[in-house]
Amino acid sequence: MNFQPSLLIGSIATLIFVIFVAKKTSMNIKYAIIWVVWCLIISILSLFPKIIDVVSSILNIATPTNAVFMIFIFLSYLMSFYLFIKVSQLSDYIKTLTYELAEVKRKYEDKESK
Amino acid sequence: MKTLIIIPAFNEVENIPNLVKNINNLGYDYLVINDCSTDSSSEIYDKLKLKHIDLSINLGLASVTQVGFKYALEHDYDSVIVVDGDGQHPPVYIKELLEMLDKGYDYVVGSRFVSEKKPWSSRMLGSRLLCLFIFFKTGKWVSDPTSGMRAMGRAVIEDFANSLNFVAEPDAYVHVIKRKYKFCEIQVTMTERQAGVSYFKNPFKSIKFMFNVIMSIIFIQ
Repeated sequence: MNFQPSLLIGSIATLIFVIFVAKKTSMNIKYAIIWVVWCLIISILSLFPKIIDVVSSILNIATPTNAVFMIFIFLSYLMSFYLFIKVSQLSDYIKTLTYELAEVKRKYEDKESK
Repeated sequence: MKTLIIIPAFNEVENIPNLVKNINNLGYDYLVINDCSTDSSSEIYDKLKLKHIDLSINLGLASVTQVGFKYALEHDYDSVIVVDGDGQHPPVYIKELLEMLDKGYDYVVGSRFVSEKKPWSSRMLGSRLLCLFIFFKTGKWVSDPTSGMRAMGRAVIEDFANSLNFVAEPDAYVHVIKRKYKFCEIQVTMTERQAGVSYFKNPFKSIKFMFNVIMSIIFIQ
């Protein structure tokens, strides 16, 4: 694959956008880091597109384009898996908090009625 | 000046009673924050009548200290000192930290390497790397970026209580320097952890920690 300035500009613009918005909305640092790393990866790939050629020959994929699609779809799946884990953790947390709140409420009402 | 000592604790039941006894002898106000420990911490603190709050969810060290800052803000404390629950931070230095706050500093760090030389262990190599990144970002050399023993004044407490977004101490340091709070370091001697296990025994966790902190220093703070 050959170097394409438009891809590099696009990926660096994405990096700047992500950092800007993450700072502005004070996005939780753990998630911000993942997105920054993601943007760094696409910047590096667009700066050195030869990496894709090497990867596609290692993986024995006929065309580099297919390698790009495969790798990025795989990464997207991983990211969505990570989100699924987080969502299930969060719903667990909410359950715990709801229980605790109910318990505190009950104790408080018991005290009130005495 | 009303001072609160925040002690984040996760499964530190062997160390906390001793630490609290030392702090009580010095006559400071403290709060143990039990980060949803899996051992019998909560009952034992209750039995010993230690001043503590039990979190229902394990939040991790950074968020636990934020809970402490929120508490300090709510109860109108003027200064907060964070002391780790593992007994590595001797309470005798609290007085010196407070004296520096009185002199008008906003953020005072108890550093192991102000006058002492930093050894060349693998952990200190990490510490040096962090120093280097902090210098690149802020133009200031700090001696002990990972020190958890810190004292802070009202302005920093408010800042941290409302918008704490750090991986750990080093990027908090960068935040403080970039916001132009007055900071300084004093020499402290830390003891070895008295009981229990350290988070950084696992090398993969250390690498992940370093990576996250450096990313945070470079891009986010």
